[in-house]
Amino acid sequence: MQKVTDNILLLVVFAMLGTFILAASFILFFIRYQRRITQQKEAMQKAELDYSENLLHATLLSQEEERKRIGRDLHDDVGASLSNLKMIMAQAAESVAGKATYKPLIDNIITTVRNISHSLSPPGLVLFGLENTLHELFDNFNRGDTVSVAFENELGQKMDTFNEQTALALYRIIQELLANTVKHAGAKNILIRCFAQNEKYIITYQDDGKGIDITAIKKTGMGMQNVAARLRMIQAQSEMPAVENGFFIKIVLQNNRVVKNE
Amino acid sequence: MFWKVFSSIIVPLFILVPIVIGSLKIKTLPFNLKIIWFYLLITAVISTSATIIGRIFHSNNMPLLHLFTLIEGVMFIWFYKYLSQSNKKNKWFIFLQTGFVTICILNALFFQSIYAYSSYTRYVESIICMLFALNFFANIAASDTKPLKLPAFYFNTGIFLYFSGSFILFIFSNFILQKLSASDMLIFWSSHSTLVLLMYIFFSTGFILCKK
Repeated sequence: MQKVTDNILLLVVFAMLGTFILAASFILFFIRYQRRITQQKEAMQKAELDYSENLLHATLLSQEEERKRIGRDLHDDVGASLSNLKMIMAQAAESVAGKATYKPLIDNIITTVRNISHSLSPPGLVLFGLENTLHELFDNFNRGDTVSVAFENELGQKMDTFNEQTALALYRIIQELLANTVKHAGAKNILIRCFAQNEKYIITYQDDGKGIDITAIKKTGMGMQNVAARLRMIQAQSEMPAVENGFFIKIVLQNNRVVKNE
Repeated sequence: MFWKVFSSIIVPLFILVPIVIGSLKIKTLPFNLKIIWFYLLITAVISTSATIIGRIFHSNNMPLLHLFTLIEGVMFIWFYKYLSQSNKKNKWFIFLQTGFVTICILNALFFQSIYAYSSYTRYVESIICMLFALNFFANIAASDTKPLKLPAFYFNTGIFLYFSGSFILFIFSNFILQKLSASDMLIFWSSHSTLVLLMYIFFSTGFILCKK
């Protein structure tokens, strides 16, 4: 029988090295595999997030389009028909029975239809710009006794250079914030400020009501979720620091993202 | 000469690195990592005692290795028990710890003298630890966690690499002690020391990653 001349020292060292390399390779492959899985999961989550964000934007845009269409139809068709009816009534003989009763009724319907049409789609936004439309909105609020809205606009006519999507989103956001203040805050005064700072446009909204629980917004407030969605749509940042009295929100817009493309 | 210094001075002293890093965060360490920190402390004490007995008193220090194997095995099983965070498995871990202690005692009484290398129990301990380490990797693979950000991953990797590399050495240790010359043995113990050093580096990294 042939004598075995293998060096036991080398054999054991090779065996040790072999098992060590196997274990180390296993760990390296494991890390690589885990990293790839994590990257795939992150990519999938991002795609899902992008999809839902796009879906939300599409929903908001189509909602605005639909509002615009219904508002126009109400104003052009129903409003025009009511105006015709009013004219016919005016021309009708004084002896027509109940004329005195119908006239204020028709006037009232015309005003209601116009208000609904305007609230569905602010017509002045395209024609007169964001600044005037906001003034009109605040005037409506100031006519009542509930709250007093103060508007300090240092941006002036610059606001009218905002693109339609941004202008409409800001209008809706402010409308939502005003509605929230009136419905829930019990505030007496609202201050809205617009100014420029470090190549950015800043809009702040503050009321002196009872304030809200910032942590609870994400869970409950549908209106505030809408605000957040619209802010994301126009790529604006927002801050809601806790204030001593009332509610405060700061909206930051990047100059180059909001201005109309000439 | 270098390998002798490496094995007998550098690596034994390197244990102070994870001990010091761990002690800086000891209050906030999770319980499983406190077990590892205590294991390092016990290792340092036993290692120092073994050196004193061997080098100064020129006596056989293998009884300490039997004791160390028992303590190391029980502490690593304990570490994996708290790492798995499952109360249902408590009985299974207690059974395993009791079983391992019994094996160590029976081995010392009937199979391998306490003055010889405890190769059988070291081998059993290696297999247990490698299985636990693989189980931990499987658990991470099933979860969403990023392993490189997880301190426990580094402790597990250190244990896995150490036992994977050295379990063959444990099997042949008595054979090596009897058959090979002192210079040949140095190669083995240097390889073992390298694996120990690697384990301490992984432990230190794990402690560094623990948040205060």
